[in-house]
Amino acid sequence: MTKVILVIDDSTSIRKMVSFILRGAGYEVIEAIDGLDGLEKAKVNSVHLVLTDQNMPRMDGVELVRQLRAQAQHKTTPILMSTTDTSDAMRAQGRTAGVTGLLVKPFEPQKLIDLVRQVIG
Amino acid sequence: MTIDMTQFHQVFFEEAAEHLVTMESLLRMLDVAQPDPEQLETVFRAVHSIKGSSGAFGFTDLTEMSHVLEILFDRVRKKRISLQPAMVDLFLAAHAALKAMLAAHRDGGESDKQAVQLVSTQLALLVSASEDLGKPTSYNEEQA
Repeated sequence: MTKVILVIDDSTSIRKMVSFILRGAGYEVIEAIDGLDGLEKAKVNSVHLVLTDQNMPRMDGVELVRQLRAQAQHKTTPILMSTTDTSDAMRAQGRTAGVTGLLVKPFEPQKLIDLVRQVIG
Repeated sequence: MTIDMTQFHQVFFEEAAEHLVTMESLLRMLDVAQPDPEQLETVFRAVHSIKGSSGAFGFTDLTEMSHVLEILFDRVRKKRISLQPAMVDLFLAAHAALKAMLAAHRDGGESDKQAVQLVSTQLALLVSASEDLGKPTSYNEEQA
């Protein structure tokens, strides 16, 4: 069964690039343009992994993760958050919200694939 | 895994150009004495987005300048620096430099390196002048 990844990023170029990489690695991808859109799509789709940007308009990645974790269907869904902020404060915020792992931007395509495979196979 | 990133460049150029339009129009609209927090947030987000996506595609000149701008707009929006007219002029000069760099990447030309260097130096001075985050810092107009 093809695994489904929800990719959330307000940057069209990054979202398209990440989706292309993941589709090339054999995953099915659903795209969302910000946290609110991601939250809606996570409610109505069955996803194996959420990959979200941190800094987005309307709803940022940390708030999205908090809200996803509050839903029964996403209590254990792996969630990766990409960010340029590598501070301890951001790591702590991510952990508290329920992020599975952080992906520091910019990243190489292979690094993304390796991380996703490590998390969902 | 080798991926031809150039296939995403056009999307990036269009996206970055939109952010630059937003940045310029809001900078020209800002009430320097009492800047609107939402406008500051939008400008911050525009430079943050340019930084993130230019970094992903390896346009390091754009990434470096937008990173410094991001630091400065973050301090302005958090009221750690009080906005001054000369500062807005510097931000507009930085906008022009970013626009020229973007055009150079898109059209295969070269941006004016001296002009970029000048703006970068002024931005770096402002970052260093506002390093003390404990209290709002007044900007020295001579630096712009």
